[in-house]
Amino acid sequence: MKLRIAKSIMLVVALALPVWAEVAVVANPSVGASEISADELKRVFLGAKSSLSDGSAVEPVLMQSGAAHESFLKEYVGKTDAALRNHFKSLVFTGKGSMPKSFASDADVVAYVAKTKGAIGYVGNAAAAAGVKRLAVK
Amino acid sequence: MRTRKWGMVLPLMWLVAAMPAGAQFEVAGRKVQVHGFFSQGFVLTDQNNFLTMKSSAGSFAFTDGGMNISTKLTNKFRVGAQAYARNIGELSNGRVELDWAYGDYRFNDWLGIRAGKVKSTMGLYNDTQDMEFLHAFALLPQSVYPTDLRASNIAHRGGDIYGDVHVKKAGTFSYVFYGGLRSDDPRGGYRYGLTDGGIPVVGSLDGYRIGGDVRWATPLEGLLVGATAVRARTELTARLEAAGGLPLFIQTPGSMSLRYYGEYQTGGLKVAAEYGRDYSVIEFTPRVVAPAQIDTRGWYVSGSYKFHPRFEAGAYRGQYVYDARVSRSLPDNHIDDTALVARFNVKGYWNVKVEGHFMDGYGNRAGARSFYARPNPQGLVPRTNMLILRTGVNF
Repeated sequence: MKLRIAKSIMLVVALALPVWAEVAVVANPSVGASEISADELKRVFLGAKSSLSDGSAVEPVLMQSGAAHESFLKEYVGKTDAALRNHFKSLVFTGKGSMPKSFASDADVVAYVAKTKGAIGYVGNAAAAAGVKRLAVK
Repeated sequence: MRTRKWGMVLPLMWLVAAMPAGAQFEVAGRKVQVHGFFSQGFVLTDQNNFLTMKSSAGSFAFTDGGMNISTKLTNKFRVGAQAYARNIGELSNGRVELDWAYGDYRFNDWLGIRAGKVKSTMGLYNDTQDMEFLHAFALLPQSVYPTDLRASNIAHRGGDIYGDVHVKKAGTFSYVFYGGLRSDDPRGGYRYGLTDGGIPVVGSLDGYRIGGDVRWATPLEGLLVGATAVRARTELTARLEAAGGLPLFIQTPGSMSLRYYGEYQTGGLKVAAEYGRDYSVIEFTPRVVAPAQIDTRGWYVSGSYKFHPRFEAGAYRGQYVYDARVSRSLPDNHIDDTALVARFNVKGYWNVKVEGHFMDGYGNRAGARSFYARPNPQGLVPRTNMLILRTGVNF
């Protein structure tokens, strides 16, 4: 009985917690690095860095919404979706940057990253990642 | 004139509806992006007419918009340009200007250069002051971002050296140092204010600006602090109407502007504060008027909170003092402004704002700030309340 109550409590607590998806960082095979620091990743996705420490040119690719998107922003970028879009708009309208491409699904992100030299994006960990390489985040 | 304005508005509205995320296409294998924005406001005041509008009767003369095109020629070299036009009461009158146009070469994270017509970094929001969609407020605090003096501060024709220095646990320091010729608007507030004071400008308004800004994105996520210093020289020729139109050469040989600022963002909360000082000595040739020293101060504290992706509310308190060496309490030496705003995001690219202002004082007419003599022939009164409705779209 005690075990059942404990399990019920754990279930309630688990349901009350926000669900954060596991995220995989994917890159076009032209990107030489096989890993990237969290700090470098953040700066790439804030448009402050256009090449990695190994010299590979990179271009960030965003998802439009979803659990993987929310997780990625919270864990690596430190901005909400609206704040990130405003950040890029401030760059675009002062001439200091471009608006990154954004896609609705994991499959679309993978397809774009696979065909675009230097592209770096993120998808749900379970997504198929044919034609792209996964980057480990240090 | 009315037909011409709507002739500009309707294609822009269509464009926004057609491509809310902007347009991207390829030219010779290079990605080219096109983006734009447009806003329309309505201003109603209970006393003084504001920003040269006939606002005491309600005014729609509060319109602006811009469109840009940019591309990366190489991974390190970007080029682009933006056209901008506004119609704020008697200011600018829909004149289309080149807002910025430059080449930007970034050698690495800590060193880049820009050359052309470049937006001037000055405080938190000088370079984004036209982009109402980036801000909770319909009107930024006029104590630090005077809409009428936009042309004097917004850009320089010259260059920037800039970069980010990332110090792992200490956050990131971003710097920009710049220099160039000052920008001008033949129908801007600076000229309007001088004409108001009986010394209309003849010909061009020349001079230069050199400045620097250093800002620190601290290790505390969302906290940014920084400072800007700008030294400027302005030269112009005017007519002294009180002396039968006597030509008068006016110069500020070395005015100094300082800004200190901080901003903190976390979740839906955003708070910001800025303090500014503009010190200048104005010299006249021939010396029919004694040189004038002006020590202008301005500050504001603002806060906004996004309660829902579609709804945000905010407030600010700002204070402008035309000359800090004179009693601040005089209504012609200060403008205090308390503003409250509600912002509704109808779509990601479309917002509507309702904003109330409660202002005390009307500032000095030589300061070219918000209230002028000509739109207020009945005389200025110390207190003005104002309602602003503003809607904007961007793509």
